[in-house]
Amino acid sequence: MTRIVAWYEFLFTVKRPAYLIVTFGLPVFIGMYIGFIMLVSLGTASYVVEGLSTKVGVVDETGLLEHAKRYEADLEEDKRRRNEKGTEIESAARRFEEMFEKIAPDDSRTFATLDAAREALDSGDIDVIIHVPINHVETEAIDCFVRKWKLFGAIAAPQRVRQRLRLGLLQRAGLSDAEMAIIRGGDEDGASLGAVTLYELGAGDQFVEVNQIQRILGFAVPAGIAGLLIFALMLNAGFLVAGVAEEKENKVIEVLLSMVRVDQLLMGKVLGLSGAALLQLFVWAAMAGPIPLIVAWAGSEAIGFEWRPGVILISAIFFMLGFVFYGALLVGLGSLGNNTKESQQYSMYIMLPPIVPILMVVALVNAPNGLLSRALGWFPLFSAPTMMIRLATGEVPIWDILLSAVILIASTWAAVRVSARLFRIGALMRGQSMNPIRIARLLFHS
Amino acid sequence: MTRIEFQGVSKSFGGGASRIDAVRDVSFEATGGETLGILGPNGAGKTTIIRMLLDVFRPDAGEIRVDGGLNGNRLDTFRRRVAYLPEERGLYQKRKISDVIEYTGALRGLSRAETRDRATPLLERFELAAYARKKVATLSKGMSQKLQILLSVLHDPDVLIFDEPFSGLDPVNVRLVRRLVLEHRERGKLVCLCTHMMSEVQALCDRVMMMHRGSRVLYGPLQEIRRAHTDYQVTVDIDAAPEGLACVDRVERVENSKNVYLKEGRTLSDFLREMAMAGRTMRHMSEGLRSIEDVFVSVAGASRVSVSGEAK
Repeated sequence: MTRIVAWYEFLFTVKRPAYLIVTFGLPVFIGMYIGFIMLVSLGTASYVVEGLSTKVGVVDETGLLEHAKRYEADLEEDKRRRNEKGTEIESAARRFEEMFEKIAPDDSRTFATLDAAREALDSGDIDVIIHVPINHVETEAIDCFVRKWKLFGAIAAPQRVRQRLRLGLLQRAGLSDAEMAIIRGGDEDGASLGAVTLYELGAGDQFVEVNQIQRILGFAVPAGIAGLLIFALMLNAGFLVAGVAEEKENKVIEVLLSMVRVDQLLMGKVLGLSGAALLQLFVWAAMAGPIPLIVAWAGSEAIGFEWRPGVILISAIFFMLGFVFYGALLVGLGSLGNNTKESQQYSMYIMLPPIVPILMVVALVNAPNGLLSRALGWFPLFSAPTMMIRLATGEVPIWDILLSAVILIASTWAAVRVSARLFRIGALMRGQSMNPIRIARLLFHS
Repeated sequence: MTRIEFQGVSKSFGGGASRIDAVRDVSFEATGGETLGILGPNGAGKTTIIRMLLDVFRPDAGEIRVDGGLNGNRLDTFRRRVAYLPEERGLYQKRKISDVIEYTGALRGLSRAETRDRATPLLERFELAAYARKKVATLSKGMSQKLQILLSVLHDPDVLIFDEPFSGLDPVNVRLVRRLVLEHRERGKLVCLCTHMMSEVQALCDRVMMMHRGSRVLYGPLQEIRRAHTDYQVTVDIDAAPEGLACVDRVERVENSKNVYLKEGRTLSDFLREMAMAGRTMRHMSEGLRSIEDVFVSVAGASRVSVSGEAK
């Protein structure tokens, strides 16, 4: 009996238009999104997404990198000998790769002096200067100079240089214990971000040291709010849609509509659930928040962490606007389903867009005022999470924030109106399948 | 007293080939203190009429006026004065009855205390008091039905719109609802009754509007409609057969009486005059009117219904 029931359940489900739309439509939908992201990334990366292809200039006062340059020739020689005579030769490069890690290719430019590198940096020929001071072997210090600090801007460059410095040491004959410790130490601890002293151009065109922890924390708090928006949406959208579907299935909706205006009912549902979502976040924060907050607060003096309540407040406003915007669309579209399952399938179309900015976080952070960042920030389906990520960089001009907020408010108003129309029709409709053309017709003719 | 007017109201759904004209140029009015029966076969447009009155749908053409003002402008206040019991009943199955009452009261603009004060006697009257703390899902179909009727009149509405209020009720509860309707009418409230139970229509309605395929096909006071749709029929207790009289169309024997059907255009006076002239006597006579059920069946069952045939 179970088998028969299962078979018919399967048949009924796969024949449902909503199932077919999601099954075949969703991959197309996701493909379009990914295609769009790739097109934008490939086509405009060079000027929109600064920092993704970092051009590195190196000033090496130790000469270790010159030793390291021989590794490619060594590897070639190894290969040739293995092929010709079947004998092994143990070059330093091969030893290094066997002991530690694969050596990344070197595409950096070498400069004799810091001044020469600075000129290249100023002219835009390079994006970052890695300076290896003469006392590197004793201190392990590396200095990194950039025009402007970016979260994902110059993480890899010092790492690659440090790898070559270790290789250079290995290549050099007669290593001291301290030098061997550096080579091995890299394997154990890795080249930590903190070991690199980072400078950016400040007032008076002078390099000033950057407190990376402070910068990262300053980014993390507002960016965390963006993440919470997505998380809260994911969690609560199900409740929102299920609630509407249940009322429709229970046929409570018609009585409700005789008591309350459709837009009131819709907004009431969205706001009620927004409140529940906020309460949920508050409870989570209350349960888990004190620890990082106390640590951050207590350590803020020591690490120079700067609280940015303005940014957090604006992020919270975008959070609320975003939740209401997505919530309104979810209720409208969710009301078209014939049951909870169908309604949740329709809601997937609203749940995907807010994820896009998260997928593009590197591009948004590296160029918060680039063409892509602005376009996503002004397009309502992506606006709220995009703006929260952009705000986290602290570089978005006020007019840009205001414009985005105005567009989002207007879009939220429009979303409520459109969803109210969909809800008015969808909530009272029974047993009819939906597709985009039919939805458009209903909107137009209702 | 509340007054509702529909003037040339039309409503369609969809477009192009899939367009459905749910309501076509419908006009009617109803005033407080009367019961209006909205009748018609399934798909006639009755529910669309009600949904437009409640502003769930907006009409494509025509005007809906409440107390002389356009419906849309007065809707928020009008909603507070309306009780609506839809044909497809729905309740939050997982909630407690007291919570549902409280939520409904709040939506109707009542305070908690007001809701409690009004709900208590109604719960007693509908024999639901013992269930107040229980979940809706524990109620039987009939009890759920009564709870919905209770919820609809909780705020002492001026207008009651009941769509098939008797379905699912046992005869005792049918009486209960009937009394409720009559009480409200006597208190000057307007009752709109959509039902297929013609006995209830005949017992409760002052005026009826019958719809067919979105159009109004009958409208007017109940008795006038019945009279207008009656083949003139006289039941007589008579010795001699009335055949042969000029005004008589046919005669059917029913037990000890005879049903005499008069020719079109002939009246009771014609019959009496011809009986007297023919020297025939009768012991008893009664005028027969068709029941509203017969009228409904004949109009709704007709394959082509002409609006010109409606009674005004």
